[in-house]
Amino acid sequence: MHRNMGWKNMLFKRAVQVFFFGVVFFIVFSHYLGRQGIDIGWPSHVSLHALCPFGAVETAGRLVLEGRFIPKIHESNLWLFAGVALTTLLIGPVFCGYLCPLGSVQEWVGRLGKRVLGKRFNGFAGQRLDRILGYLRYGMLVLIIVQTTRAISLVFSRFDPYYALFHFWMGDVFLTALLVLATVLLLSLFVERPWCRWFCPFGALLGVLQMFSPWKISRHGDACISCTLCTKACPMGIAVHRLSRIRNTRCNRCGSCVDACPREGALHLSLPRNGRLPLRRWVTVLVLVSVMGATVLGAQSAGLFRTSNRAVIARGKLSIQEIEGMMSLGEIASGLGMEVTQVRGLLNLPSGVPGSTRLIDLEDIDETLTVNTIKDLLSDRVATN
Amino acid sequence: MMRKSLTILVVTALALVVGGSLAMACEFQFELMSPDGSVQRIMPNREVDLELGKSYTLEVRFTPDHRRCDIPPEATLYLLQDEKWKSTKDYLPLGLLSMGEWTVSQEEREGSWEQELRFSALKEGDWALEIVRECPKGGYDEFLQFQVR
Repeated sequence: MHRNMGWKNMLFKRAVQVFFFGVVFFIVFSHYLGRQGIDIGWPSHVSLHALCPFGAVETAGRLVLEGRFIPKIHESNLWLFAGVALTTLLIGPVFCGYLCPLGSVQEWVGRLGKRVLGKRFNGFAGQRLDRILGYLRYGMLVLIIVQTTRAISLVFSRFDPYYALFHFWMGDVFLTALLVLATVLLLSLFVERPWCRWFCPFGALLGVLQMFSPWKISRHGDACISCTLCTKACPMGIAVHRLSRIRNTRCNRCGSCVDACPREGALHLSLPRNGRLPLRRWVTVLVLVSVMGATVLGAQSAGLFRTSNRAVIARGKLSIQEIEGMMSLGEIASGLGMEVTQVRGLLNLPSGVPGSTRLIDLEDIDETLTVNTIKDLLSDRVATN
Repeated sequence: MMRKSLTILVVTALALVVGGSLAMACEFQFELMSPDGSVQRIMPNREVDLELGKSYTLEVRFTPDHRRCDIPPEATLYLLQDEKWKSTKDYLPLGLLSMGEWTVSQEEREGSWEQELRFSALKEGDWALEIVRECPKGGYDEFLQFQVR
């Protein structure tokens, strides 16, 4: 009965992983189509950098010191990070176990490794070496924050396997990132989730946050028969059978240990003391999706989920003083509640000037049309009209 | 044998990651040469003092942060007081004397570009020179802050 549930849970997990992998791929592919001139709406205009929760961590140093973002990072990154952090504080880093596509791919490659190597899979790095390598994640985290703040640039993207995974086919990924990705995938044939275990800076941070989450995997000594199947199943190499409550910073609540356990009730994702409020697999995913969804949609509806430097201008809500040189004629017209033809008329521009023309480029048509003179002209003429 | 291979793979990954990070590639790097010939590296959003009436050379180095960049270096915009910085605009507080062509950088690794801009500090005050690259991959938009005294 319990074994059957484990199989179902595993299938459910794979389905969730494939779904989120598909979502990220859809965003990247839409963006690619957008670059080719095929606009399919919002995803075509958003860079993957702006949708990465780790971007908020990369920009943290500069945000604290200067109150500014690193180029390519925006408010959207902060909201996504808030969603992931909230979920982690509540039920642990389920983001790593279910949503992170790089984690999923490593797991899928690992299945191949398990088939080929059998019991030797995961046995190459001894426990001591594995533990020591695990500390590299914290070094990576500090190194990336410090270097990103110093360089005011996303230095991590030069060797980021996650970015490489979704962009290698476009030919715009640096060789270092491709080599890191290839090495990680190769390592995945021998060890479960090597990037997550030893290198992932985001996992390191979430690992620290998860220490505060009330829901943790608990082992109930009375029901446990110490068969060690849980420890063998743990992709992060945690000795589950020796612990009563899993506080290890590597635990990503994937539930593999629970699935492997032959005794019902011996392992649970639950609150402390007597396994109160155990959470089923679908509930953890529901919490993840709900918290992330509520954070993103809430920010979006409040107009705070910005994915670029340029403000989204609501129709009729722009004042003359807010006009900026990088805005287009179309944006100005919409912001002022007018038609492009009207704005063209007010500025005495030829009818052939497209609405996508930026204000700073108008001086190439008429050298007197600088942003300041445009503001003066518009304020005079809007007032007289 | 397997353990040795694994160690080699881990060390390779580590070397790539740490080495890549230590390269600390800035997308844009700015150096300011003062009239006395001294050169200082300047960072966006940090104030730099200029002397009124003196001429300076700003060297801009651009290193794309991904391969196959569709947007050429020439598409980089310099905006002062929200309009294009041009040598014909003598009313701007920082008078542009000359703007050199973008050339492939000799010092940096392949793929970096350089441009030299000469300008004079014409008016007292705090002035922000905006450097913009519009790009579907996120682009760049930073300010160099100059204090003319």
